[in-house]
Amino acid sequence: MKNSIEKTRDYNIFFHTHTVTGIVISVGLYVIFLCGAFALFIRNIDNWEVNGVIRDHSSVIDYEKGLDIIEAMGYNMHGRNFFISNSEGPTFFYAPPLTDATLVKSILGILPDSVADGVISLEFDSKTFEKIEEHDEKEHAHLGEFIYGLHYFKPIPVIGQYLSGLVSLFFFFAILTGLIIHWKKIVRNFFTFRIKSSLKNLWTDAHAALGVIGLPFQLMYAITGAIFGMTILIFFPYGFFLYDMDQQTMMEDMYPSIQLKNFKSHGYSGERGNINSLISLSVNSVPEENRKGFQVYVKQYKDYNAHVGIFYITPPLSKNFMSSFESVYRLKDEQLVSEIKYGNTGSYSMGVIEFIHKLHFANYGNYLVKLVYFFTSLLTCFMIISGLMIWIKAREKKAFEKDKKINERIGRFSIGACVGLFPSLALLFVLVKVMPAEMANGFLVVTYIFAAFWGAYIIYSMWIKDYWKMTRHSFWIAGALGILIPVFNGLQSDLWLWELLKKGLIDSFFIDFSWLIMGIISMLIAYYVKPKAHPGKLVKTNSSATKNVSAHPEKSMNPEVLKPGPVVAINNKK
Amino acid sequence: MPANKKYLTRSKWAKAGKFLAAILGGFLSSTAFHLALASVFDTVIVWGTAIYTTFILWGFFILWVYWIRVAWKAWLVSFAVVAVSAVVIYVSKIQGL
Repeated sequence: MKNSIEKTRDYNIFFHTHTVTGIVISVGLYVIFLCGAFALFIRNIDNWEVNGVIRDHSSVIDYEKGLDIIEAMGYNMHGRNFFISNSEGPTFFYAPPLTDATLVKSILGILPDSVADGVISLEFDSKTFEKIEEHDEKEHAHLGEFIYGLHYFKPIPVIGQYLSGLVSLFFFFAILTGLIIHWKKIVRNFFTFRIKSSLKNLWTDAHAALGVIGLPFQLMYAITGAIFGMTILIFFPYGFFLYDMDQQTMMEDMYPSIQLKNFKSHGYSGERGNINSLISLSVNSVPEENRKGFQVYVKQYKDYNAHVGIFYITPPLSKNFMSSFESVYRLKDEQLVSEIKYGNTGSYSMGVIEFIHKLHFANYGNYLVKLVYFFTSLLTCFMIISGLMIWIKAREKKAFEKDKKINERIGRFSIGACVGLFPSLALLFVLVKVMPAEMANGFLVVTYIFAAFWGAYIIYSMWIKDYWKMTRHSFWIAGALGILIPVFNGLQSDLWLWELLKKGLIDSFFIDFSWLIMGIISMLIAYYVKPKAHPGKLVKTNSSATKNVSAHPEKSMNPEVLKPGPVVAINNKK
Repeated sequence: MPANKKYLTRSKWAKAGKFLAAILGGFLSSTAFHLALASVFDTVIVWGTAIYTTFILWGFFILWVYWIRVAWKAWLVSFAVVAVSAVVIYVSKIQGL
């Protein structure tokens, strides 16, 4: 039955732009969503990498002593802005290098000036104040950080982040055009999954149904993703036209928090209040159920105009969605100068930023929220794949004979890049544990191997030319590597899966166990979903997988759960 | 079923023109519009809203550019929005001084 709507110009225009945008952004968007799904657990992954315990930022330590120790190391302290994050384990001190604006030469120049004025990045034991680690200017590379960076194309120099923002914007555009195309059938789409019909219908239904189900989630990510990718576009014009490039005033209006505030230097001052007593006073005044942790900011240290700020983070399940508040004291006379009360934000725009941040990073709840995000991201990945398959199938028709070669190549490349990413990520987790600890630039080499493997998988996909095989093989590899991940973690650290929980290494257990499950599921999919199976049988597998999407998310962990069926038919047709 | 070609833009120049109008015109007019609002009303409130509405408006602008038949209309509208916004910003700045 031909709908009359399909004959209108509007429909055809939006359908065409939807198709073109989709095919252009598909691989980028897939990378964003799959890596982003993993990056939700960035802290867990980083802790898994070093088999560390979860840090609980909640205890007050002897800050004065820490600052004295740093000073004794020969750093120029006058005019420093400090960030101190303390925990049950180590305490982390960080101070950016003194710039021309903040630099006030002191007589304490024991180290050569460039070092004494340079960045301070130190980790101390919170009780004994023994130095644990002194970082260079460059942070240590970590697996979680890398996957998070990959999620917004950080490895692409200079333009990577903006590119991811543009992909996000076009994702928003694709959502709009998709909505227009399906507007009249939107309720039906939500409930339709014609698995017993043709394969083309299966892809179409999967694409539309998952698009409708995931709509709020995807719309939220399209917009917040564009914001994070192209933040510069909302800061620069306002600074340029409305604030005459006065960044300081602008930031104080937009984000009035101690985190970004800078204070002017009024000259060296020896007399000042006690940082320890100020922090104890503030921390003790906050009820324990309102704070999960806090960070300490010292601004213009050793100056007349020195300030101390305590920035609190509320527990994830507190009644307030806005989860930070702060008190700022002037150090000279220990006076409270500014304060953001619990449940408030410094300004409307600060609230908006925090709101967007929370939605995007899913840190307003506990693991359940993150898992829902994770599986919805995987659904979105599958929506991208099904969209690609619709495109590929439509272009196998005779009408497209002229561009057949190029269309086929685009199809193979896109699907190969998408399905190849999952085993590549699994390989990344294995490599981190295999890499010798003493190897210089070890993590860099790991990322090169990761990129080489992914590239090789794309080439392999284009060479075997068979969507069914490239998907199935990616599941075999990802499954095998996934099951090996806990094994390699055990071999490297002597901490085996069954011991982890007893030792309190929750993150290590979480990641090891998740990979074990993901690996097993991948293997099962690769093994049980056979190409020669009768279409009726396939239908069953597909339908159970689809139903599980909502009921038992862990069973649909792999976005391509639905995939093999249709591919089979493509082969059969050949 | 791919879209019926008789409705689509055919010339490569027209396609490039539309793309550029959508990206650049969309960004310029969306930002200029919000800047004008921010210069007249409470800057912090408008900016806080503009964080997300800039991109939403931009997205709808792209949609509109692809919906209309010729790209020059999009350029005309972007130019008009930017020009009017520029005047508003200029006037409010002078009054503020």
